[in-house]
Amino acid sequence: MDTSVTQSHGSGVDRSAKSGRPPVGMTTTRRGFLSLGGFVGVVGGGVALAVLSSGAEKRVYAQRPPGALKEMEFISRCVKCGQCVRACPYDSILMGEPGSGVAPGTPYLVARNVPCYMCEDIPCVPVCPSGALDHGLTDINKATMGLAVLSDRENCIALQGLRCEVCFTACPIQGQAITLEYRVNERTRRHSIFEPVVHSDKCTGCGKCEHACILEEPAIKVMAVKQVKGKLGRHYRFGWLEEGQ
Amino acid sequence: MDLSRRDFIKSSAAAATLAAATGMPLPATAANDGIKWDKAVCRFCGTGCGILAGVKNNRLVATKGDPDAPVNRGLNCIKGYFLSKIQYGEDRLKKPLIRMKNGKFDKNGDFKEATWDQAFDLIESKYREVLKKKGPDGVAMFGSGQWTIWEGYAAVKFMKAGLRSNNLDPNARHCMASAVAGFMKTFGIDEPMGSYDDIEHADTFVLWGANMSEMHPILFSRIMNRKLSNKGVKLYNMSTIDNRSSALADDVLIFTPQSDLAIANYIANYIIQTGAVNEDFVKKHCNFKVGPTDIGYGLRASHPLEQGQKNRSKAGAGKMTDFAAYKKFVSEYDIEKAHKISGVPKDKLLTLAKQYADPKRRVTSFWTMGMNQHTRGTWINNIVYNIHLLTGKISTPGNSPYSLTGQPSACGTAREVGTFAHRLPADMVVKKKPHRDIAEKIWDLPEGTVNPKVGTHAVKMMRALEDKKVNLLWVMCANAFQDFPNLNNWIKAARDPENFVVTSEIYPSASTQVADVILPTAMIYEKEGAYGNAERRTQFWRQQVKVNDDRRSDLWQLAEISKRFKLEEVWPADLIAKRPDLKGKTVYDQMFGRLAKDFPAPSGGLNDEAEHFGFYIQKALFEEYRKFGEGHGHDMAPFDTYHKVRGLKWPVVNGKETERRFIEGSDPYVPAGAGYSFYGNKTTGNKANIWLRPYAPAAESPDGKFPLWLCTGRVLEHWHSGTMTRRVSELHRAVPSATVSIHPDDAKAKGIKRNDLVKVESRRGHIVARAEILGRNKVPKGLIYVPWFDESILINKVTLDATCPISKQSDFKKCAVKISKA
Repeated sequence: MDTSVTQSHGSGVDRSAKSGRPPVGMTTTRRGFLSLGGFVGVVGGGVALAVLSSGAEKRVYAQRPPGALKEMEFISRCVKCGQCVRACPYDSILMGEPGSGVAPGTPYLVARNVPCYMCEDIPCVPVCPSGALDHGLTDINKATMGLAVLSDRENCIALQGLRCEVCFTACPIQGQAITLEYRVNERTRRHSIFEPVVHSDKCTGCGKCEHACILEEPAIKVMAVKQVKGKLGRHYRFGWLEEGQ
Repeated sequence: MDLSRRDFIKSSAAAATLAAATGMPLPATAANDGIKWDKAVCRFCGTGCGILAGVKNNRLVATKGDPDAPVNRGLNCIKGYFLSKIQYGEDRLKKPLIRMKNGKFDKNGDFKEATWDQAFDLIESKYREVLKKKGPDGVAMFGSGQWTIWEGYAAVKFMKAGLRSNNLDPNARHCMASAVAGFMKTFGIDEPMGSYDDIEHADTFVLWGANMSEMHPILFSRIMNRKLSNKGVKLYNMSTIDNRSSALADDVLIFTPQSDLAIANYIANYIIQTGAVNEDFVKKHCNFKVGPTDIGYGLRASHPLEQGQKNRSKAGAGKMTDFAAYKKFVSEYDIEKAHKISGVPKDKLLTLAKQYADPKRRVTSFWTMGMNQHTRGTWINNIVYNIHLLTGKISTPGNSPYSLTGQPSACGTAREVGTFAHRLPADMVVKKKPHRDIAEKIWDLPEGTVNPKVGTHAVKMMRALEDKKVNLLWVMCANAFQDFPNLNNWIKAARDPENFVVTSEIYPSASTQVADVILPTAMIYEKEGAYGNAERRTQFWRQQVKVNDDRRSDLWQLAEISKRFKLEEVWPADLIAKRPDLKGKTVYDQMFGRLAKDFPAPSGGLNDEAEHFGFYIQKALFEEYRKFGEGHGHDMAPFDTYHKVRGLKWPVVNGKETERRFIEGSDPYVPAGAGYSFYGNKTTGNKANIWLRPYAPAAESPDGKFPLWLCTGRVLEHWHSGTMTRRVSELHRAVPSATVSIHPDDAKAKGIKRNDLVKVESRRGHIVARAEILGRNKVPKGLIYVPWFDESILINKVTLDATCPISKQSDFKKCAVKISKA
């Protein structure tokens, strides 16, 4: 097994300590982040590690309301009027305050506390006077507030063979944004593992999965798409996905 | 305790192995963190997963799945993951509470803390009042398939022998009474013949109204493994809603509610028409029976549906017929008819029928509430057995008609102990004199003590409360005022000034709300206990934490209240005259205390009840109880054995458990050379009965005014009425409230969007809940689904109290409703 625990953990501690700003979108902020770093190290999955390490450089991730433009553009456009905050029937949208880690006055969500409930009429978007929330978003299922990632494969009880799958059940685009993949539980040889798998083309980043996760620290978290997604070299295409020319 | 030490070492070793295999680091403190581990059983469903309970400083601080438990091999579901938290909700009831005004009991008073003596003084006085006025028929107890075995047994003794009232029924009546009636009618003996190991042998699984993925999560995990590991294994999910058990299903058959009767008869007909009958098996091992069909719907006699139903009171009767008559009877159930009634496409029906008909395929059928909570629940149980009997696909590995149970001890306590209004332990019944004789002999009571009159079954109990025929109701280990259908009536009845309701509970609940006295109750790991799961496996655990306040176990409550009555006060004089030596003795003396001399309190370990009563009361009761089953197919091992093993499947004969019943080589009751013996039907040649059971429509179907079906049920994350699981903040966050699953077209027609508040209304009541469209349950058009765990959304105010007239089990799956945007 991978033994890069110390290194990964160390780098996490170091960077977090220097920045002094807690990551947004994770309830227990710094401590949660540290333990996450530790677990990822133990998994040692090269991909997961890389994603999080690169993510750690821009640790601060604010989950924005549906329709939010790209982060820099969003911040420059947002007039900090709070209309979207008021429009949200679930009080999901918060307003950045000094020290919250997001640009003061800009709207954001902390999914672990209150996720986006994906209202079909998206009341937060049309009220935005500046277009920082794109009025072109009329189908909430097309929103990209972030991307859920099953970041802790060791503590996710479903991956240990327990029957949980709460994230799958909580997902409002159930069966599409999160599916279950089934395989034999090699330990017992009698049971099976129901693995929740997130599909980035369908996930809106609403955070209901992170909110619902029954662990003390969620094993599934919403992160910025950029933090999570890899990118295939342009010189190669998956033959079974891209047919023809 | 040697055992726990051994368990600890074993489990540590297993954990170490696991860690080595997966590279998982073991917490450094694993071996010396001061936690003492001991084997126990999960508190929730009928699967019966084994766990290890971890205690430190008299607190259950952790649990783990027991790697040595054959059922779950160390796994748990999400509810089992939180076992250590269910005892510690902030609002745990810790003191008896009495409704009082000016320091005195008052039906309209507020709950005030009281001592056990005050509570029992009041309860005693009410018992005396009602017994004097109405006799034994005026008192009732509603118990549970979640009682431990000895708690159920103590309730039977207190009610049926002590007070001579058979008004004792468990919540299991709502859960598997139809399964019981099905077993009794077909096999003459209760409970499944197979075991969970059938899963690893079956070629085809058919779920008949069982969302196993959510309700028996670990068993479903085994089915999935079987399917993933073996190409060609098939899974068919038959249901009225598309649910989580459709995962990997080869086919999902969504049928119109109630039409399972037609589908099952079609399959039987197909088997006959295609020559797939196992003629030899049927000839040697089956009889054919027919019963009345004008049996009504278990509603009150005045209900329009009951008019002209001549055989309402003889619904379970039957007479012998023959194969020719049966063939003729099922011949009308051709594919056209089955399709027309069920709405299932013909090709799907045919595919399913072929699975059963193919002699090379081993077929296991699973069912739970879909078939049991059914106004023809007994019939549909019978018909599915018919299919297995016609093909001889029974009692051999993988060939198993398998009736699952919902509750952890629906089998062990409700059924085996016989906490039903008509039953005694080990399948005996109060109306049969020889059975009463056996009970009276074992209990050392005069002849005629046990009341021959069948008591009030669950729904009848509530109707009797409403009619003020029953004036005293004690609800124990159940949440009656959330789990009964047509709730509004019973809530009102409970609050009637003439009635008195006692609720033994662990947390405030819908049932404590309507109670007059609330008794704070010790729960699972706060007492020594035993449960029996759905594969006849009896499993024990020891008390894990000491109760240091006023909470008391149901066993303590039952034994203590029985100290309050002298036998001559609750028995007629002629009965006492038969045994003058019993004069002056209390119910406690004769039912419990009498056993003390042979069972000294255990030394070492926790046992609050043994400490209090001065003897090993659990062991005494179990050793007496098992006399009922000895020698006729219900044998149990001695008490001490169960503390050493991971459960045993009864009958346990000569120290050996029984893997499969009714078949030679496995079941010691089948004589050599017989092959099979359905010895429950001794008087009819040890043969199983194939019943002629037709299709009959549901009691209430959608119409112009109430155009939708309502189906109720459960969710993986919550247990029953949520008293325990809704105290776990993580589970509450995962599934905070009940929702209404609606088909997108039905929602659109009413302008309902996801998360909108929706009013669901029937002729009896209404609820308001949020809409879920295409969530975990994909309901068909014309049907909505609402789970019942949420006490703030009492869906049973909407449901109908129609029952199977044979089993008296309510149909929570079918009634007519309308919806509107709230």
